[in-house]
Amino acid sequence: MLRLENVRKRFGDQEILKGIDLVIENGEVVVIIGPSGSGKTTLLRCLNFLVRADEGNLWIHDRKVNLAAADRKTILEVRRSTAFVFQNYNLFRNKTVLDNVTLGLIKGRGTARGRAEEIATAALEQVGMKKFMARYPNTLSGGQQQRVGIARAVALNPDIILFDEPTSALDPEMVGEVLDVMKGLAGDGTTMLIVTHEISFAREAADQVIFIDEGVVAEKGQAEEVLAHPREERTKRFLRRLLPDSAA
Amino acid sequence: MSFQFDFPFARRAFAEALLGIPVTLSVVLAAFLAGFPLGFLIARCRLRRTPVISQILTVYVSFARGTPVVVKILLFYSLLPPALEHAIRVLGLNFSIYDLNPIVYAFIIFGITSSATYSEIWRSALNGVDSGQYEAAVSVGLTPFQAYLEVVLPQALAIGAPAFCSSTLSMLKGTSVVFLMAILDITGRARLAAAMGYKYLEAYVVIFLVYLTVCGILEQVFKLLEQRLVRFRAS
Repeated sequence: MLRLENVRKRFGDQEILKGIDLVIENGEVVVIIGPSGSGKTTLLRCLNFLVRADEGNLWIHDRKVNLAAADRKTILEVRRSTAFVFQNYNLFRNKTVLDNVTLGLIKGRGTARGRAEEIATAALEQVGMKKFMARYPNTLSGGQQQRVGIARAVALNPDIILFDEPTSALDPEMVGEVLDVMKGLAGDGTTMLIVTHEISFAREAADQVIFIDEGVVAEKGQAEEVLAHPREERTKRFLRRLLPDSAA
Repeated sequence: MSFQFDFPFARRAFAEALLGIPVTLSVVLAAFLAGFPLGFLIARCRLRRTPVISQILTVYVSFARGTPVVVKILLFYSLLPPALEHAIRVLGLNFSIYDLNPIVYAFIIFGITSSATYSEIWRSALNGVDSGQYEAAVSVGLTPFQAYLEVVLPQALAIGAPAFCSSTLSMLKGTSVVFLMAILDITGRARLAAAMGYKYLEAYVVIFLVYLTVCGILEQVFKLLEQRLVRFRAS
């Protein structure tokens, strides 16, 4: 189980996160939705210390981590038990597909190269990118790069994978292949926290949906409940804007 | 003075000038070995805006880059030895500064100049690496140091390679002024030969050709290096 408590962050005079609480059970897929600028991405980045929160705690492995004051060692430990999938893929441009996936295993976790390559090959197979193993990222399409990005996260076998709008930078025809990979992971029981605007994916794959608006959790619950029968007026408004044809 | 080109003399001057190549290259090498890592550290401090140090380094860089090497040589060479001599006497050391090979001054002066020049290249090269690359590296569990070593530095080197190459080549050419400190580099050797034979034209043609060749070779070396560094960009 992973729990966030009272996460706060301000940039200058703007309060982006105004005290977020969140519980994610093992094997659960949690989707965060909300208008742009509502703090979804910042929340994810605080969890992984890519942004330093002003306040807040993270429980991971029954251990309490202060997001505002964790030291280097703790930060490293948290990062080594989580993985991040970026909106812009952020594959290491100077490394082959295989090396992109093995780097974290070999340098971060001290896995032997041979074993790391076995794990990486399996992860690449899972996302359908095994035959591109020797290629460099700039020779791949966006969808292919993002699938490698997911393999890079999966190979680490983390407690949770954080997805930051994984399909937002993709051409429309490539969104499907990435979402399919993610659905596969959800089916395998991978714990995932996903920021996305893909409502139909959320409906299909999410256990829990959280609607964040203006730095607070405005509504949360079962995916079907929140997406099809939202209680809050602002959730309704947001979903109407996103899905003009739906009944919601 | 003869207006005929004296080929036998030119050949002798050429042989003399060749003896200067190791001296010229040693100045370049020393300046590179000192300036390349120093330049990186300067660039990092300035990019991170480390208080005080960053401002001092900004002044240092504009001082080092804003003055001609010739002026630095003239200044240092007349200022440094008496100052050091004084310091040595005060410290009571048994060592005469005037026994010191003047090439040491060349190392210092070119080390300073190159650290400033390289730091500017490092700065733009490090800026050219997308911050997402570093974030991704720490997100897979690398320490900040590992992230730099594995991901940021190789990419910055590839971005900076052409500029590192051209600034090193212009430094090589710039070392020709060290003859002012009576150092027998390529220029120093050839000028000495010229003075002995009163044949300046031949000597200068020889210098011209030797620099052209040495620079040409070094440029090829850099090209090969650059090709290796940017391998990942090729499709």
